[in-house]
Amino acid sequence: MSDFERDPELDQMRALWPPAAPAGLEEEVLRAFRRSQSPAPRRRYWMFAAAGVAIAAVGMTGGILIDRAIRPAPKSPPALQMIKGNGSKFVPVKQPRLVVISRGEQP
Amino acid sequence: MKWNYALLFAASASLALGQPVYPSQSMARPKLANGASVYYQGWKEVGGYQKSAPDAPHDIDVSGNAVVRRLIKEDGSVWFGYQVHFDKVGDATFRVSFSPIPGVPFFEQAPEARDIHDGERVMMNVLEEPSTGRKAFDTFQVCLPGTVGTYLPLPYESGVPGIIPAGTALRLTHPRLSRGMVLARESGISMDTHVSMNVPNLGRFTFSSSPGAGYKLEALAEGNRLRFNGGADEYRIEADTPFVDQAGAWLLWVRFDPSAGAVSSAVTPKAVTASQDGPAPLEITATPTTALNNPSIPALSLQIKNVSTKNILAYSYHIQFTDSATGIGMGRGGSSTTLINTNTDQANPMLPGAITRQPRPEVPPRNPTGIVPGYSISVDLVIFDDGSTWGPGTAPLSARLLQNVQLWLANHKPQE
Repeated sequence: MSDFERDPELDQMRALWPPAAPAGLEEEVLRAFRRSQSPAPRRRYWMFAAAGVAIAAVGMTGGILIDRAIRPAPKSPPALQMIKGNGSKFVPVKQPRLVVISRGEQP
Repeated sequence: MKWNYALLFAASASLALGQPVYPSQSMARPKLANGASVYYQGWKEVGGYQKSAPDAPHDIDVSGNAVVRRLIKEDGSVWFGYQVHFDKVGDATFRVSFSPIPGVPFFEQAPEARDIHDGERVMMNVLEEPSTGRKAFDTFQVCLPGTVGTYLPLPYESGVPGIIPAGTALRLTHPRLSRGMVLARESGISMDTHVSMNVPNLGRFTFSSSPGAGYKLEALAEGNRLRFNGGADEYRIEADTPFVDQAGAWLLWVRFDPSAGAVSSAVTPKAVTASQDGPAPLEITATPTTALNNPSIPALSLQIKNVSTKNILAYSYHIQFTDSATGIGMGRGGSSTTLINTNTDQANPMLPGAITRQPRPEVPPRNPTGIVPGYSISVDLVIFDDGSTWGPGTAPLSARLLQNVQLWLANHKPQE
């Protein structure tokens, strides 16, 4: 019971398929393909990697320099304090506010 | 470089012992290269005597138009400091700006510069104690030649003073006004946003909680005591109740209107022209003794005799101490005495031939020998109860003495 007519030629082809192939054919084809390729992609890989490292280094250095430029180093270290004999500990005011007290400005 | 430095008041007690702590104050008047004088005051909420190393730098100095402010440790090293510049930017205008002292720690950020006029005063907090909020501040008043500068009265007991809120009621209850001695007293009670006290032959002092024409923020109310400036003089009023209801120290406005007419003749220092003819009306004899509070410190006990024929109402003398070996001056002492009982407001003059002894012995400057060095005593000013005087009266305390006694005499003339 068949829905289509048999094709003798196709049957002959199917009898021959798959063709016999040596076991190392796949490896040989792969090696041949690799030999056929230029080494340039590997060089590009290293080139991109090196460029990435350089850009990151430049960025970090620039960041540090900008940070130092916009944030002045503290001139009075936190440990700066006057300890009196009576135990009181005074530290300098960070940014004093100058008031003209003779005009009645609140201290 | 000419500047005067004086430690006005320094007292402290140990927090660890639970004793009260008191503010301390220092003051100086350095002169700048541009000719202006700066009245500097440093005030710290917690005082304390600090022994400084002999070769320690000054805590106030001058460099050109800048005052150099150093905070110095006991070992003489500078732990913090700043320079405050007073650069003239107009005929009577100064720009106040700050810079670090090379090699000395400075504020994290410098205070913003301000322009002020001749005679104005600036203030800023310099130190703070994070655990308690207590502070130390500096004030500077800049004055061109001819402008009268003063020191601001600062708290003796309270914390940082505030400026009295405008409209606050002030109260004067039985006030006694003094300038070294009580000059006037009033029996009334007054309460308003501005109150005043009049001193005959001197002037009227008006105090206000709001600024106004002629008023200066140069009065400090602290409990029952009010200290203030009037002209170039410092005054004090003691009252029976606090001047303001709010606790603490408050700066308020004061205006001084000198009396017309009699005031100038009453307080003109005549001593500089007083006759020195004739022998000194006082004979002063010194005998060795020890200091009142420390028997190990040598001192001089002074006996004073009126060898004149008139009643003496006040006198002043000064002592010059010298190194007996080298003859080099070692320091000066002196005192002024007024024989007026300020409680009863009655004179108790020294009669001819009367002898008295100074209650406090004169303590000479410290010296390596541990004994009293050479000394010479001279009478500087004698004021008789008829208003006449004897002596050069060149000592600063003599000028004040003469002003006070002449004012008292002017206000206590016998009724005719």
